[in-house]
Amino acid sequence: MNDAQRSGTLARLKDRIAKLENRPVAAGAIASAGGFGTRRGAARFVPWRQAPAGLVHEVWTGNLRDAGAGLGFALGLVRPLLTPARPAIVWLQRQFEAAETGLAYGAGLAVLGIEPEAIVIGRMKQTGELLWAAEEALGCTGVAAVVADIAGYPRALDFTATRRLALRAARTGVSVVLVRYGPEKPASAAFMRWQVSPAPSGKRAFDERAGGAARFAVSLERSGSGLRGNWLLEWQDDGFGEIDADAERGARKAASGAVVPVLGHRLSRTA
Amino acid sequence: MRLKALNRAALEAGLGEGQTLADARALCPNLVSRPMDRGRLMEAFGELADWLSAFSPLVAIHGVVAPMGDIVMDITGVSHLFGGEAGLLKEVTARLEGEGLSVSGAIADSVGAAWALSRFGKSETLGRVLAPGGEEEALAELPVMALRLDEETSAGLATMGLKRVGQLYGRDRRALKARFGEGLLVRLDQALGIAGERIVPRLPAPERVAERRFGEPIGLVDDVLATIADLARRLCAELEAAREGAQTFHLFLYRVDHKLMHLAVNAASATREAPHVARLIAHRLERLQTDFDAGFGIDMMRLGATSVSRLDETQLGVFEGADTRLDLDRFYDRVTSRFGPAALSRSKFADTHIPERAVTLEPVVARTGDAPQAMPDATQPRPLRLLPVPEEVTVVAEVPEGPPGRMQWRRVSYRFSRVSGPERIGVEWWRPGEGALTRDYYVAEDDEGRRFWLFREGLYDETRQPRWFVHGFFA
Repeated sequence: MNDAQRSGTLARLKDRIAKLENRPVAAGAIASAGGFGTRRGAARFVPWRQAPAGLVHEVWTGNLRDAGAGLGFALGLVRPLLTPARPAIVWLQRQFEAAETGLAYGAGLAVLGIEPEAIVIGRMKQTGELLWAAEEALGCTGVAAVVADIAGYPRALDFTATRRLALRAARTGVSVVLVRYGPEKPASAAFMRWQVSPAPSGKRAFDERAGGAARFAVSLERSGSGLRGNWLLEWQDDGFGEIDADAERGARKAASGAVVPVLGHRLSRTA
Repeated sequence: MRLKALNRAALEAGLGEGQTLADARALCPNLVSRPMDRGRLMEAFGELADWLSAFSPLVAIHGVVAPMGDIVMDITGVSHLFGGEAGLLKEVTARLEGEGLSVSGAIADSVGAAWALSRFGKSETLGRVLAPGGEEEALAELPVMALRLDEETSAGLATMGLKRVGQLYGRDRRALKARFGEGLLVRLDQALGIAGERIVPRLPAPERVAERRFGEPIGLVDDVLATIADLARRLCAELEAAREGAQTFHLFLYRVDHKLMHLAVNAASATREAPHVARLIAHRLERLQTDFDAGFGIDMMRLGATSVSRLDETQLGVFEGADTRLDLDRFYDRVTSRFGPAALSRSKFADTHIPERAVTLEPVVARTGDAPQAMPDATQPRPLRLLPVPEEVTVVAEVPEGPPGRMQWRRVSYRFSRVSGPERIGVEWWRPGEGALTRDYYVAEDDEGRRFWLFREGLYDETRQPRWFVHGFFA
């Protein structure tokens, strides 16, 4: 068997597996884009900039006190999915959590460039109800994405539940972001699992003491297409932009370029 | 203690209303008495009135002349279903008497005349149906009390020798008014049908209805659901024929034991899609699962529509997909019918600077019509999440009126490296409140990049001990 034959067989097998797993077509595109993670190459795929529709994401932050960063990243992730044909993002929360993590505040959405009108706030009593509402939202052609904010480890949100969401999302093309908190990450059928923590913001012009645009230390820990990576992201006017922490500190970059930005960022934090 | 209400047997034994319990016991040693529970009686009476809406949707409890009031029904346009007005009256009284209740009723063009006939009609006229225009003649022989007068007025009339209603006809109205006040004339005019009288229905009166009576009462939820689907189909066909859609749907379940279950669902936009309406009501029923109690069975169901508005057929273009707006509305309906209207909401801005008042959550269904306010000044920083109740924290500031330096919040300390502010938000003095204080808001970022929205409540010349609160979190 020569190389061409081999790669052909491999592609066919991959196709079959993707079909069996009911993986969305877009996910296949990511897999084929391949060049992701390397800092060279123009056509590399950047998952935080153009995450395709119809996927389930998990956005984890370490603690409830990082709730702002978690929601900010989640909304930034799904914002590109808003179109005139899909004008709504459904944000779901369990009622009792509002006292702990706060309610999505309409006036603050302007920073992320989202019209407050576009966010539908759903508050349910139990996780089961929340998942039901999420599934209903997934079936709606007007919804761009569902962002579900779930603290703790409710029993109702097990692997089966996330699998249900994943299958339905793949069928209807509506993305789901589960914003979760805590150190443990139980098994789930999410296509991408992100770990997000807030990062010290950049400088603001004319004001040394004030913070600048929001920054996130993001790492893609797992994804269905095997892609991984770490980034330091900043919310710029119209989406996330990658920040080179080393360059900002004026440090010499390693010639190989293999230093992952987030490592540099962590170093800066300990310094 | 005195007797307040007696049954027929007690009346035959010679007891009367107002008698003391001790006297009554002496006259009738085996008397069974119960203390009166007004609240429960009112409730039971109300339930009975609601149940009577099986006959006509407009039922009210009217007036305070009788201890509990009287049940008034507007039977315009329904009597033909029962073989005429006499048939309707017979049916209603028979149903109630079958339950062991003492009933007296009458049908007339005015509430006053019907009241008079039902209370004071002679036994052969009891249950009489008064033809239109017959009030004057029918009431002439009745005592003046039949006009729903208070004790004082009727006693006054009696001293003047005016004992029957007929004697009041043609009297000098000015003299009567001077002596007894406006009330007497109003009551007289109301009884004769000269003056109108409003009745306030207890239940919402649907503009369009579909109903179904069962020969044999049903009790299973599945049967109820099947009937709902059928009723929804009929109601929606009716709406379609009239080119209308409705936003609110009411389901009335009439139980054989004279209880009524009523539930309503709201749709985000006017609709006449039968499967959708049926599903909304089914969700609503599911929500009260534990409260659903068919008792001894349900013998009638009615589905009604209110908030009816014109709705023309929409034609989808060949190249257009499904209507997203409509699809979103259907989604809102499905969720809110199950979890209640407050489950889904949108931000709505109000014209104020106080952050917790500036944005309110407005249910997506049944939105108020007032014009949406524009978003407040976007140049000021506002957090992504706002705590419903600000949390008090201990803050160390470098200088008394200065920005926060360190904070202790939920038992963890934070050191702020970057702070911007203050944004001073003053008190809205036109709102009543117990000495609200000026707030100075800061955006404070800790060493790890978490950004909080903090405020100090009170300036140092307003209060000796200003307090600090966390109010929100930024991305």
